[in-house]
Amino acid sequence: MAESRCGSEALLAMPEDVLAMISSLLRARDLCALAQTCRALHRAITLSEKCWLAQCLILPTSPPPHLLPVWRVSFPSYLLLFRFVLSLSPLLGLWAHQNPELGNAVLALWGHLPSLLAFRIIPQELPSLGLESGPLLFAPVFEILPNPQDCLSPPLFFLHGAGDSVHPGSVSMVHPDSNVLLLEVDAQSQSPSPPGFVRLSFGDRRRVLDFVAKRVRIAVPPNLASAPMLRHRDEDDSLLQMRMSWLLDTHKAHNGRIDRCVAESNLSGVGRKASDDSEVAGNWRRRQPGFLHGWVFWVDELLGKSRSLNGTKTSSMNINGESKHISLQDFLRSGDTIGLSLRGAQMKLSTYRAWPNMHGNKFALYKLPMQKPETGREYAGLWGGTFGWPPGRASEDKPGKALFFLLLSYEESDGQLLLIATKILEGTHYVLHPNGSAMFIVKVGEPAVDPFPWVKDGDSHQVEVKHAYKGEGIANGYGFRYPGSKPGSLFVTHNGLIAFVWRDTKVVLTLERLNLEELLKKGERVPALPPIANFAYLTKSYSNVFAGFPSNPTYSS
Amino acid sequence: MATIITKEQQEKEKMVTLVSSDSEKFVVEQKVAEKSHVIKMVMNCCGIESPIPVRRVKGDILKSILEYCEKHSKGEAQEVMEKWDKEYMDKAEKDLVFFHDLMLASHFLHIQELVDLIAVTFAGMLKMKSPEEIRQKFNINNDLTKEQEEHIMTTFGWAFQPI
Repeated sequence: MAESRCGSEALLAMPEDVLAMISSLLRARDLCALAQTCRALHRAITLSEKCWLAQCLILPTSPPPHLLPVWRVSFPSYLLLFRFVLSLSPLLGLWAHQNPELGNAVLALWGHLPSLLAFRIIPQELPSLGLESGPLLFAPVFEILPNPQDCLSPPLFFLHGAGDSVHPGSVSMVHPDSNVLLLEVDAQSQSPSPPGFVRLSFGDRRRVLDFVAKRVRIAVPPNLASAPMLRHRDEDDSLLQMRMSWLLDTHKAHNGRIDRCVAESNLSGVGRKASDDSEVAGNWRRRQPGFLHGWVFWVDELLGKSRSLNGTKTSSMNINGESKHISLQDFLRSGDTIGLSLRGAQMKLSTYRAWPNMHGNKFALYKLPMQKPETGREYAGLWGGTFGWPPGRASEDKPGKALFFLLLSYEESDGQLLLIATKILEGTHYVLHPNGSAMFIVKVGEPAVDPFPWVKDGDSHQVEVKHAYKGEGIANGYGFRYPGSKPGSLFVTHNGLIAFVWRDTKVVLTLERLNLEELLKKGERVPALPPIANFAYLTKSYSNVFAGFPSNPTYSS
Repeated sequence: MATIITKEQQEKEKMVTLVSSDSEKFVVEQKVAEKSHVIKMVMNCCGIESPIPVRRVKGDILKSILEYCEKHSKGEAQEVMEKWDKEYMDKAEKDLVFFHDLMLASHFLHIQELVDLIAVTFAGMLKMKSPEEIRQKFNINNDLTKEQEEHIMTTFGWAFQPI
């Protein structure tokens, strides 16, 4: 064996597979600390492929292991692949907005090729042969790709919009604990400047976002407009690759940056105040059935106030009585170019029954924390289904049942463990209850005594009830915004279904656990809304603004 | 502990002689030597009659490794073994040169259980340490200029975000 060896020399003599094994037991920050000790170790750690592959493999949010070699082709090293994955991981998961009230649920997930994709699930009816027979309708919202020129530069961002268009931009920052996803315009300059977008008035933010999105719009070529975005079959590979190459070439040719002077001359009324928004607001009002609610925001804006969606008002003046807003002119002059950007931010948000209280004046999506099932909390996660029994199928006499997605989470209240089923998607023609309503809440510690009303399921098999819990289901209350509740029971059947039965009416909501990623792979893409509305739909609406397909869903069985 | 045993015993059990790089001889049971995948292959190929040279491992390291292999060939209860492993590693990591050579030798001899144990111990020495603490622990000279340190900090800053 070698003679007396210590210090960096000893560490450098370590076989690479041992180093990889040690790496798999450390966090990235430990490896980076080791790389900062001396030149030789810095070189060894940064060049070690096995070390960073090990880090990718232990990162719980990594893409599936079989995709890592596929992704590696797009990065100079596993270190930079790891960095891409780590920095974007906070964006993975389910995001929502209060509007429209039928549901605005967006799932962000890794693509087959190196990318993060976000899809909106469209409020819809249950497919005639059940959810598994599909297809689930979805619309693309945005996608993020690594920057091929320089993997240390911000990732590339593409917002999707109506008419099969993409709108290139970049990812400005992702907070590790991001709970709000913001669509912004950033003004870049050579010298670091504070982010000004958040200090613009709502009207100015909307105006500059609309201007940039329109200006950077690129139509997707017809041969790629219908190309798959997720890999469902082997034959998808070539189209996925073609689509990715086109996006990268497009971003190289049109990076989505607009010269400041061009922006200034086009937004020539930059000195205008929010009152000029009335024309645009009018257009919105004419289009939306719930325009009165939308109008409230505009009135607040005119009065210099902002309002959160559940009604909490905050003044836009600071304690010295000075306006918090900066002018659009000052914002544009803070940089040399402007462009679309996506920012993952952490904000202090209050929640009510597992639903975040959202801002009415931010172009934002809000994270829905998804609890993992564990002992004693087995039903946490995403469930989908319809009203009626037998489950999962539209019957001949009642076709077109509304599909519901519910997020089930546990919350402790007054020493009791509650299971809360939050509505995140409702496929009715006109909304029944506010988005984010608790469709039912059951007490985990209180078994139900009522019997399950049905003996057999749709296949004439005997139904065996494993567990039953006492609780309350949603009911009409004081207007739309404040639903009431009526007693009922949650039944868990032998085949993993859950069914909430309202005691008096015997109305039943039957649910099965969802694998949204798999449903999306087999799903059907529908056209996206115009880009800004496709990201955050800020106007109150009670109908399906995402799809104009005919529907006649039924409420009860 | 590698045991030197009598001729009678050697006849009773299947014994094998291993010779370290500094010519130290160790006579051990075949099942103990078999813990090393490399030695097992040599025994399968060349038999156990002649002494097997372990040229890349010094006597003190081979002795310690055989001590580990002997203990791990007895099939004792898991909690007994975990306690023993901990004491074995506590002793080994006191001398970093010895510890490092033990790691290289166990890797060379392909004793996966021991490589795993050493990797876990090694990772424990690095966890949650600052660059300066690691330098002190492993006696590393810092040859980075201030500019290089700043550059590294900039390029690795992302890793210091909590996951």
